[in-house]
Amino acid sequence: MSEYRAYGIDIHSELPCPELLAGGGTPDLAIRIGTVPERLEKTRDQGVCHQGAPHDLLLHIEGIASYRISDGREIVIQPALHGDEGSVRYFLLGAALGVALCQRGLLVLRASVVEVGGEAVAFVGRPGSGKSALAAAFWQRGQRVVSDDLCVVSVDEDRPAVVQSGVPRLHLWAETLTALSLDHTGLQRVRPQLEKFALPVGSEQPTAPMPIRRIFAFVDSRAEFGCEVATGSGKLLPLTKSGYCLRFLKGMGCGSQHFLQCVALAQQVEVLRIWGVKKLGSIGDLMGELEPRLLG
Amino acid sequence: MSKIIWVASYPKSGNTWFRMFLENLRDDAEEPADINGVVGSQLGPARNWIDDELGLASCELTSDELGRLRPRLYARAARAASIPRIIKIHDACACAVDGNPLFPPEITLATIYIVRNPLDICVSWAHHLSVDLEIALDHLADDAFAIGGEPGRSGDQIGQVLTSWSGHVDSWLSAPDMKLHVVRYEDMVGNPVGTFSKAAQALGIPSRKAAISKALRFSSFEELRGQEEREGFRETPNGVTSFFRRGVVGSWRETLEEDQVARIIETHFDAMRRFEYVAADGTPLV
Repeated sequence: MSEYRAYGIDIHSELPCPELLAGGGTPDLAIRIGTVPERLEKTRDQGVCHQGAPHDLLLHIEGIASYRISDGREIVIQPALHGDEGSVRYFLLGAALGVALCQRGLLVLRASVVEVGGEAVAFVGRPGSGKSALAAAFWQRGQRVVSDDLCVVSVDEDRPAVVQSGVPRLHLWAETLTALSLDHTGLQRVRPQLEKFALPVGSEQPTAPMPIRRIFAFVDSRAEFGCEVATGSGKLLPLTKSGYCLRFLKGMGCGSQHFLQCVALAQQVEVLRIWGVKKLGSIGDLMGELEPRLLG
Repeated sequence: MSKIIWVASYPKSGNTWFRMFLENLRDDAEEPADINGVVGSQLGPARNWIDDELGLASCELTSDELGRLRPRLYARAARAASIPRIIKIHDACACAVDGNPLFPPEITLATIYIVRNPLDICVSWAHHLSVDLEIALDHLADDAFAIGGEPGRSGDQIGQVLTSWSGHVDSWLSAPDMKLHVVRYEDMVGNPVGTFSKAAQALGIPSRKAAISKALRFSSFEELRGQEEREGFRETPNGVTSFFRRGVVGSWRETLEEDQVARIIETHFDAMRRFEYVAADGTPLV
């Protein structure tokens, strides 16, 4: 059994997860290898890859593994016969862990987070919008990466929102690494078949939760590049739509929780909408637009 | 619960025009439908829709894994719809690695397959991708040609295997149980009322002449181009000025060199002959 700490919780796992930082203590979350049922009782919602029941989710990645995530306290993994271990861990530490954290009452956003001036700055948006690339560019300029892909926020209306420290690596496509003048030789692929690599970016020690005051939200638009401070529902919508487990919330009965947490977060942070990123020539151009707003 | 109307074609063959006609015909509204607002155009290859439905990032999945999932996604879309869903497809009609059809016949209400002269497609495709005509020509001839699927900054669509132009045509025309109605782009241009009326009839959509005329007006090239100029179009690639460029028949004659024409005809003769794009002796007819 291996012991880890990530996102503010202690994890004990039968499956070694070298990506995670070492930890100890009474486990908040147990990960074990076992048998996962074909169907969940009391299923309230199901999709192509999942079945959701109150505080219970079955996630089926064909050819890789099935995962049952229950009460935010246990993840059972049933690997497929020929599922490669790297892919089993990839979806464990992504989708399955994101679901567990959501079940534990945390707000989980699809975002990359860097530290600027002692505070967390998050970049939220759809997969492929450039969040990790932007975090990597800030890392190259000396900012610390707090987390990538999963942004785990403890928030309610009574306490300042804080981001939990995540896994100290960035998942970057080969073309992005090249654009950043980084060499992917020697880096671990996130899955054997993908040209996506894990770039180590942090220390070997988990760090304390960090207050979050600013979120940049990548939004879809056909217009030229723009960036503006969002107000009203313009603040809330990018947050609600960036839920990491959005498709699974209904079945687990976590939809209201997610919405209320986003409302509380929107009241505490500045949200800046960014659009037309693809019309810029490079990550450097994007940095040129954002750095003055962040560091100036 | 409903079924799917597939609108399938090789790229640059009038797919968007046809879908906009259908949407306007069904809407029967006072104003033209928004080219960026139609749900059907979002479903086929669009990553955003697939990511939302899966609950996972499609870019984290291999093309084989996505291929196995696509038929199930489409089946869910059909079950969730109260009226037939119109779905744009550029893929060749094929099976996933597990042997199941990508586009299940059992959820298919009908398939509109649009075919266009590859001589004109070559010119249009070169403009669309901002590449040389020779590259476009090679794409049309490539039995393994695929589009989309790039991760990161350019990854708006999942990967779609087109094969060659004539391979694409053969794949759809030989697909069993897809309830195919074939439309020539050149007939859409030359005889719009007759061509679109027949297609609407084949789909079981009521088609009074006035309704057809209004839908054609609301989906005219000028209307689509105008909307794109005012609001942009979500399917226009980065760096390309306009998705709706000219929309004419026979523009290849102003652009393609003789040897390029000869190579396209040699490569795709049978399919071109079938749709009367060339005579038996290889002379272009359109």
